[in-house]
Amino acid sequence: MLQIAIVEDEDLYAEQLKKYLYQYGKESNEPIEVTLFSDGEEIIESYKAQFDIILMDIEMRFMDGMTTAETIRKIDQEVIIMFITNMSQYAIRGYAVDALDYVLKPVSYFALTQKLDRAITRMKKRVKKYITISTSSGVRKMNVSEIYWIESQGHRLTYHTKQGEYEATSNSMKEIEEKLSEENFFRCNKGYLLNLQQVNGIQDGYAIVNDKKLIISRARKNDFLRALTNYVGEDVK
Amino acid sequence: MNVVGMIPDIPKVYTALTEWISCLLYISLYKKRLKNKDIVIVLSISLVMLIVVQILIGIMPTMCWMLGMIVAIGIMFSSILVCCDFPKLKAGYSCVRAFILAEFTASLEWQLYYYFLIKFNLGSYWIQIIFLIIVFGMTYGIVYYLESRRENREISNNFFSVTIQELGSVITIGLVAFVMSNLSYVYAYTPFSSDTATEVFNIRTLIDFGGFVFLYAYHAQREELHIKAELDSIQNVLHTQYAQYKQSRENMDTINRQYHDLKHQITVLRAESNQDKRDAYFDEMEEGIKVFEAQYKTGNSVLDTVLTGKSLICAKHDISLTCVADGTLLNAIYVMDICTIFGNALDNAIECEILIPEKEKRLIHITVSSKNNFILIRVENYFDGTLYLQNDLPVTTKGDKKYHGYGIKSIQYSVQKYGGTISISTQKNWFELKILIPQ
Repeated sequence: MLQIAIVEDEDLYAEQLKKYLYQYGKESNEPIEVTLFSDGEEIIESYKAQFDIILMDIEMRFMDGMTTAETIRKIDQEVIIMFITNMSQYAIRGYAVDALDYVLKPVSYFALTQKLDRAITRMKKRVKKYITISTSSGVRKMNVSEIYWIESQGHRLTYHTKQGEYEATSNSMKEIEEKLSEENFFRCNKGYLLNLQQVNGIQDGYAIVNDKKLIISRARKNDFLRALTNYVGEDVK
Repeated sequence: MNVVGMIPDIPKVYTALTEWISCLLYISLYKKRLKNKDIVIVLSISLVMLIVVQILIGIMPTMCWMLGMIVAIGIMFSSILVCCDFPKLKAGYSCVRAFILAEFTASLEWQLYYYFLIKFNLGSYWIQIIFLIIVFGMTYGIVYYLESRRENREISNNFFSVTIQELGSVITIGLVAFVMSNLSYVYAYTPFSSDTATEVFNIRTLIDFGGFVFLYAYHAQREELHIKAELDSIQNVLHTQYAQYKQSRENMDTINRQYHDLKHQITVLRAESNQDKRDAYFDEMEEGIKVFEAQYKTGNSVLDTVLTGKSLICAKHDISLTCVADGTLLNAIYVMDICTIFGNALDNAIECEILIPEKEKRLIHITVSSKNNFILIRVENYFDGTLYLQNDLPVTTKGDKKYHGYGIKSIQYSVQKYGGTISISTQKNWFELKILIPQ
């Protein structure tokens, strides 16, 4: 069930949006629940990261959309915030609160649903995934997004993660590469399989991950850059 | 003096002299790096060195001949590189041409001289020198005329860069000409060589001549291609400029209309004595000019200008353009490159949207944000039907292919300057151009 909040002080618009959302839910077979708020202050009061998407007006009487979004971001970094506005000169600064898209008023059903659809598709891609690996101290469950890179030395695989380094003997590099093929990992050279999500820069043929430099093999450089561009470019927030 | 069959071969000093004059000829055609005084010094040194090398080649056994020639070519290359304002590749390219010209001239002169020597029995020292002056003078005169006619064009001096492939072709032609022409000289018993001196001379002169003509033709064709590419890009720039001019005209017309409206409103206001009504008029006027408030304030004035310009086109065609952009991220990028990236990306998107009959489906969205220490630029637009990608680039369905092809290639070129990458994909009915630039 998708939880969507509408924050809008003009009832007429709010009702229209609600109608559009339910219609979209029906058409796309996506169960949707809509909650209405008439001001920024109202949604802040009881906010506990319960929404997947927030549609928000920018100009509101008590707490405007930007300030509301800022407050929400402090609690919830995951929710998709989409402004609904006729003031594109304010919405252009949406990057500050990770609101990378907005819908112009008067809202067209087509534009709204297209934008929602894209946001939802991208959101579904970032669902947390776990893998289990067997180490010498037992089986470990690991959040895939917290892996920096996986290194192979002979038959051993070392997982460099946010929690530390783990050695596993159960899988070969090839097996783990296949297992993570859907998860935006890239084999940047023979010995390293790195998580594109954790790449923080490129410097003369090296990828920078967790402040360390991993060499990118010459032959894979272009593929690596393309994969990285595609991955980073898919970010919703 | 070396001998071919029973006849003396080209005096080594002649070879040195032609090598040197050929260098001089090509150096004179191009923009110099050094002052005239320094060039005289460099060329004097290279003349002495070339003569010494050639004399050594004459003394040394045939095995060392190849090595000696390589040293001589090295000296020619260095003189050209030092004197002319050239990158290495271009100096290499000119060096090969100069070398083959030198081989040809030396060979031609000696063959002619020898022919007359036998025929009229003219063996004096003076005749030899007069021959040298006449043949060298004529050959170099003609070559200089041919080359300078081409090279004096502004364009060839400044814009020609030589690629490694081009240098490769030139070296191949030069090498083949050189090896074939000297085959008899080194080894007389191949199908392509001869042991009679006159034939040896003939083969050498003709093959060197062929080599020179080949190189000249190659050079001419290469130049045409470069000029054509240059003209194409100028055409492209003009096309853009013209579009911008039309744009400005439209903007001015709108402003003029607004000016007339305001003038009327002011006249009405002057006549109005009721304060409330006056205030109402003022509000109305304020509302009216709100449209002209710059819509885009991203923190980068170049991006603002591009966006404002393109948004007017979008408004005209009922395209809904939305943009979330942190322009400050682009402050390290040159004006031209920002224009290229956003101008072209938006032009392509707009062209695509105009073709969609339903106006509510005309959607373009731009984001500029920072992500994992990268600048991420995303330009997305809705499209109907199918889009064909070729080499990762969309194939245009519009007739105006001539200008269209430049768009994405120019973006790619601009982005690569900053170590960035572009990626193009389609998702459902959306075309997505993503650009990632390291921060």
